[in-house]
Amino acid sequence: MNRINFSPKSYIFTFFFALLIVPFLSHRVWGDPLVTDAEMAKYLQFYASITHLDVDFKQTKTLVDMGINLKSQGHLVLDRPDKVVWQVTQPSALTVRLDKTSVQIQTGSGPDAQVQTLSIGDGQTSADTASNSLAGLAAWLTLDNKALSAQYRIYKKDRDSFRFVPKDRKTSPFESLEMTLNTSGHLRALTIHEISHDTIQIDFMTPKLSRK
Amino acid sequence: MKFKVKTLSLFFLILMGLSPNLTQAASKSESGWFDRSHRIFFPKDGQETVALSQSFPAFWWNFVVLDLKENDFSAAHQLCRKLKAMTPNPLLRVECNQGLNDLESISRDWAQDLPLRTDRPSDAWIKSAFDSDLAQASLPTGDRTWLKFLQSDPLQSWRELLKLVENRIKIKLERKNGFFYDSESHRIIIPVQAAFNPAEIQKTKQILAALSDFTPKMVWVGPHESTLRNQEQVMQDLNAATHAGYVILVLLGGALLWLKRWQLLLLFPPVFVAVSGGAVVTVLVFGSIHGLTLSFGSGIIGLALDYGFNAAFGNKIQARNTWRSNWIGVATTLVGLFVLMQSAIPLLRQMMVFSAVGLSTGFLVFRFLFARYPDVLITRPFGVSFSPSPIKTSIIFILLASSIAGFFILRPNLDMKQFDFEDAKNQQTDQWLFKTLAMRSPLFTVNEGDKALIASQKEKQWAAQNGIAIETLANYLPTENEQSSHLMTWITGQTDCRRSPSMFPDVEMRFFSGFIESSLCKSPTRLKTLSAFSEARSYTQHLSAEGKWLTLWMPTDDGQELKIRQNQPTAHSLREALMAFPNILAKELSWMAPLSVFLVLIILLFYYRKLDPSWIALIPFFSGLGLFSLTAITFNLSVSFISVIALVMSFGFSFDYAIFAVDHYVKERTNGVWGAISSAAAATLAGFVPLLFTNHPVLKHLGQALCLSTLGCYLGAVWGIPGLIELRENLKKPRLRS
Repeated sequence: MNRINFSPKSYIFTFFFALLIVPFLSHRVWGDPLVTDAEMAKYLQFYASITHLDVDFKQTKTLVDMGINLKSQGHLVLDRPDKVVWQVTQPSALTVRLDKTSVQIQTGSGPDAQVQTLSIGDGQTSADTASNSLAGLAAWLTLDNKALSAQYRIYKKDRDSFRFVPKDRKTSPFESLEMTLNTSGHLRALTIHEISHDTIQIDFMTPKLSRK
Repeated sequence: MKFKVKTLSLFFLILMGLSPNLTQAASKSESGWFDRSHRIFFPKDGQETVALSQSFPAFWWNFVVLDLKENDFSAAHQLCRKLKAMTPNPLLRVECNQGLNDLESISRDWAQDLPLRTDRPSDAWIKSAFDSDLAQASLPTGDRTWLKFLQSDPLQSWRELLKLVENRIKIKLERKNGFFYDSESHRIIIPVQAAFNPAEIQKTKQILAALSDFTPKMVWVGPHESTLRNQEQVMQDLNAATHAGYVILVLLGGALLWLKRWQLLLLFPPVFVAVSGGAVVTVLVFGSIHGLTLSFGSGIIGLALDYGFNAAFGNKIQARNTWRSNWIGVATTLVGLFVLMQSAIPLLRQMMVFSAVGLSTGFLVFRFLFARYPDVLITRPFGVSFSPSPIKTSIIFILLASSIAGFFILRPNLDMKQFDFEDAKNQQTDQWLFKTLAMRSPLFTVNEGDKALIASQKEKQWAAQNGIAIETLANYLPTENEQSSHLMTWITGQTDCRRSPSMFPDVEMRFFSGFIESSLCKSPTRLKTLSAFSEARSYTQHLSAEGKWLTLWMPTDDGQELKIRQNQPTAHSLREALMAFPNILAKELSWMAPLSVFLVLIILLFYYRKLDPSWIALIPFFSGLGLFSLTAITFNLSVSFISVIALVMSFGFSFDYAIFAVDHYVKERTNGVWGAISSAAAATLAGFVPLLFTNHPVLKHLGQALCLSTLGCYLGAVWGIPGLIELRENLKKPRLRS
């Protein structure tokens, strides 16, 4: 059996190779790089000046342990600074209206419509997980750079993908959220990882916008 | 021998010192023979409903009031979160920031029992409800609570339940940020329903300890906090009274040793024997003894000391006369006790049996001891004497006049509310809440287990016809026939899911598998009526206690209330139920008091064979009554039925003083009589004075009335009787001369 002899050159080569690979590995092993406020502001520039957004979406909620994929589709209307209407059209009509203080859930339509109003408090974490979760989503969907940076640690995954991890994990209904922007900067996909380990994958179409 | 007796006396002094602690330990024990219930306050017919009123969770509502800083609701949200973390135990419901998760706790069995309440809907309707649920399930909901809720109640029957639940709480305040809010005072109110009886004070204590961060701004108003507060205050007062008792005991013991009358300390152990004897007989007769019987009754039995003092200060030659007077003393007290024994109130009956047995035992033990060990027990008289004087007699006349004035001026306050010990903050919040909510007290009726559903249906129908709001079992469950009819539609609509192809897609089949299998597929065990009501249901548990069912009538005006009372003669409010005790007591005392005086007068007439000494023997009692009335009128003391009970107790010992004082003049002049009366009064006061150091209204009223009446009785015996006898003789002299 021949013994391999390393030359000094190969030691030097290995040393430089290691220097190069450590940052790459650290990115993969120890997490995505943190995104600063200023960087995030740049990424969300598309939304900085809009007052109204109207977009269709398709969604799949995966209940992992039950092996169920709940498919739905609908329509999102965002009126800045804080009004969100989340309208599900399929499999059944459902409208969720959210503002700073309440969540209104309307099931059905016309005379059969049933409305349930829930209070979420002014900027407070509700005692109710479901209301809290909807309020958390509404706050996120406003895509206010400052508010997002205050509530989440933001990591860059890929060129246009970001991961949002709640700073206060005890009260947050989400484990994390993942956002993908398209080339023009608008929200293309959102993945919500809930504390129940269920995942919601939302794909957004091209939005209709009104700017300041 | 002398040393041994002295040592024995000191030993008994220590034993006396320990006795308050032993009584407290007994009251804390969970023994079956010791009763702490409220049932004993009420006659048998009213007893059940009142006692049960504490057991129905519908009466376990409290209000948490929080002061806000202007419009800052952050503290309110924190408090709400903390309270909700305590559901479903120790809190059943918390009415703030109502969310989707809140519905889950109340609709557990409601959804399961849907086939009992409605006919099976069509397949198309079920499919559309499933779609609606799946749309809701697709929302981000954080955890699985909401999803599980949708799975268990896919036909959304919770909406109907929610309406019923919201109707229970009628608060005329705006809802702001999820809270009942009063914009004037910047206060929020959170209605909170506990999951336990107010008597379980340890649980309340734990809840309040968990909320201690909010304490400066938060006040908890309701039966649970009130029960805890009052019990804690009574315990605190008893501790204070015990400490004061120790000091008085040491002073009394020291005084007896200093006066070289340590033999008198030997008179105390027979009282313990008497109390024990009374307690044993009471437990044998009634099955248990109530804490109040033990504490109040022991006070009456303690009067047996009077017989000991009378005998100790007498002499061997006069022993026969002394014991004859003692016998009349015990007979007059027993007459009063026997009259009170006729009361419809179980507490009074028990207390009087305990006192009568204890007092008789004490009397007999003393009689035996003095017959057996006269040399040890009989001591030299103090040599005290009371000569009559115009000033002393005038004072007694003022007291007698005051007792008559007291009959016309003083009206005992029978309201139980006065015994709710409150600090200034609680009182202010309580008044504000009462004014702000302006809620009418609901009336309640109780139905028996088996017939409860039918009775409740009738009540519901009548209430609907008259436009009266009602909270009853029938709001939640139809009659058995209706249940069967609804069930039939579900049973006939069931399919064999294993054989026939499913009418629902795969996602629905898997998501709603529980509901489909239990209600839509053929199943041999599921779906049965709830006629026997053997299973506890979460949605009706607030109306159920000990196999009985509560109906709450909620009138909005006097007209509706009158209608309810006419149609439901047993309907009454919680307040009325609680007022039953003082009302019955007042009614009974109105005939028992004159009857007792009359019977005592007959005994005295039989004893003295003359009218004059007989009515003069009433002077100490009326002097005691007079001193209490005079003080109460002058210092505006509150007079309650507890004060009246204390005066009844003073009626017992007043004749012990009176008979010996009158005998001194009309039978045989003895040296030791005034010392005996003074010692008896001092010992009685030593027992009652510690109550003056208490803050709780019950103990305070008792202490004031007992101390004043004892002092008055004593003055009546030592100043009044000599003075009036002298006056009587002076009045007779001119007649004799003429």
